[in-house]
Amino acid sequence: MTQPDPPPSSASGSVGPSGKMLERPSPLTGVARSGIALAAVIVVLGREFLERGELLSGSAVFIAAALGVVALIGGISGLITWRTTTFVADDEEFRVEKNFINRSSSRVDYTKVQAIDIQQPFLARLLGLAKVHIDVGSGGGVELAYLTRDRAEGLRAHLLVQMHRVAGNLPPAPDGAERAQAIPSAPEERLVSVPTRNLLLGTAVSTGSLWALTIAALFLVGSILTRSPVTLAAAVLAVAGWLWNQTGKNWGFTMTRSGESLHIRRGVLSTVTQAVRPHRIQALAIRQDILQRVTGLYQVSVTVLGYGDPIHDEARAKNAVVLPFGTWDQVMTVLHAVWPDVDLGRIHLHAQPRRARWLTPISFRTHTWGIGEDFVVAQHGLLRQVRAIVPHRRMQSASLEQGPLQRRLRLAAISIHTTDGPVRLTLSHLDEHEARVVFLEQLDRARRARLTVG
Amino acid sequence: MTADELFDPPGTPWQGLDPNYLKLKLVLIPLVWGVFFIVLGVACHFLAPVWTPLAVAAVGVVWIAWRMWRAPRAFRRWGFAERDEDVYVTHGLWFRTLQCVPYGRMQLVQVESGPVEQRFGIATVQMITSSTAGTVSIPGLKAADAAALRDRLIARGEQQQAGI
Repeated sequence: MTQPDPPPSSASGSVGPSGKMLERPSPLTGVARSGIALAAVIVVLGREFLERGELLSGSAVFIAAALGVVALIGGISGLITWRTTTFVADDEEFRVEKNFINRSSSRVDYTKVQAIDIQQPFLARLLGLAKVHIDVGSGGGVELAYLTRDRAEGLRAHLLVQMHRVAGNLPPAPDGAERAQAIPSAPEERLVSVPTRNLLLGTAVSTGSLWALTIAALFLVGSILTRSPVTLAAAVLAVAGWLWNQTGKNWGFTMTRSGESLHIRRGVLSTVTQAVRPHRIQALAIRQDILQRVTGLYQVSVTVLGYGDPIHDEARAKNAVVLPFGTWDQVMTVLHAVWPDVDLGRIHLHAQPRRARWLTPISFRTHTWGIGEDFVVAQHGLLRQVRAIVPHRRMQSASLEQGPLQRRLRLAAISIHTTDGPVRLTLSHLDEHEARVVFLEQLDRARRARLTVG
Repeated sequence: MTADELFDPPGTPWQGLDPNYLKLKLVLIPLVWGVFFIVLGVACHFLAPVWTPLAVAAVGVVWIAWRMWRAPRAFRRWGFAERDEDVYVTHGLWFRTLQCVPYGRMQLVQVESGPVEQRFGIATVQMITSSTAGTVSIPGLKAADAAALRDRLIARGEQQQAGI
């Protein structure tokens, strides 16, 4: 594929000294930047007006003024960004240059690109703008804000092509057997889309909604006892907010495959588009909480290299979910899209020895583990059942552990470590001698699998 | 197979830590816990009933004695073995672990030595992989041994570097 010619944002492009096409972010960047603060000004003033019936009371005006300043700064910084940022994206390089007080020039190594996300905050969406985030593993990555939606899509397509081109010169990666014939501009094939019915059903019938309802009921009782409608309003707002959080972000969730990478699209007000390359995926977990067994829906999340530990990063935690609510068939579709060679049915699952019942009296039956040719699978949990899957070739290290109670019962546990992410894999409570054998065999399997990675 | 053998690296005999590490521990335990219990005792003296500082002192003595008694055994539980492709580390008295880190997975090997450790001529070797859970450290090696170990680990890691 060649450079889109001319780029859709050609109005803001110019030819640089090296004869290369220099591009700039959209001039509307300032408006998009200040938009959030401006919206906050309106919210603060509006709420003040509704609650007190007067517009110009002291603190609200003060807050609004402060936010106005923030909006102004956002606008100015957006203008400066627009004037001082240039980027080059061609067959040789992708470079972003910023020439304000600090001069910086970041050049992205196409081989290091892990993922390319396009984000559209609400206001940017109204203006037809989008933000491109390029993840290069460690060190944060590069962000370009804001481009026109078309240019952002074009840029992502371009970067994906370059990634594939550079990757093609490298020795083939393990699961990239079909990488050679992977044509980057291949038509998108729809793998999974979550129907609204499943989204609502999955949200409603879950332990999360049970908690939300319980809390709402407590507030309801509280507001009846104290006769204050404010508490009730708060409860309603909290539940509505929670519902919104669960459904709004995953509205219209679809996963498509284009060539070798998987694309995820989701969201109502702000659409998130995300590209994940399966060979960056280190581990996968299939979760189902106890109420969802009624609806038969599952959630799938993955550990992706370079995404870090999402537990400390809410935005990233959402990114790690590759299927919010799916039927078992859809789970299998996603699983095979990620790892075509995995077959859960072929893996023989082992239960814990009977004496482990002392340590897991209630959830005893739910703990199983199995090791296949290429994968380790472990399942835990009654209230929230989690199946974790790690390919041998992705194992970083492993450990054998035994606490004082386990020693008494002659049990031991094995942990399989992968890169940091939402998936943890432990084989808990094996017979201690069996555990040692399994541990050493697993290290051997991982060693052999590593050789194929090269 | 006894519980100890269960956590031995396979085949290779394991190496222990430098005896100075035990000395360091035997100096640090009464020092650190002593300060802790003294602060607690003084606080109790001002804030709690009259008898509490005495109780704190008694608990403190027992606790420190127990930690000191335990220290040599915990020290002997530490061990590591360098093999062709990976390094095994075992430690822990109550909670025993045997961990294996392949050289090819190491992204960084650090040698650290704080001021107190330096007085005892020892250092800690930390092996960092791209998994936080898989990061292991071997405390209490002679400074020169630690540096040599790091160099060996890195050299082998470079030869056997595996794609993530």
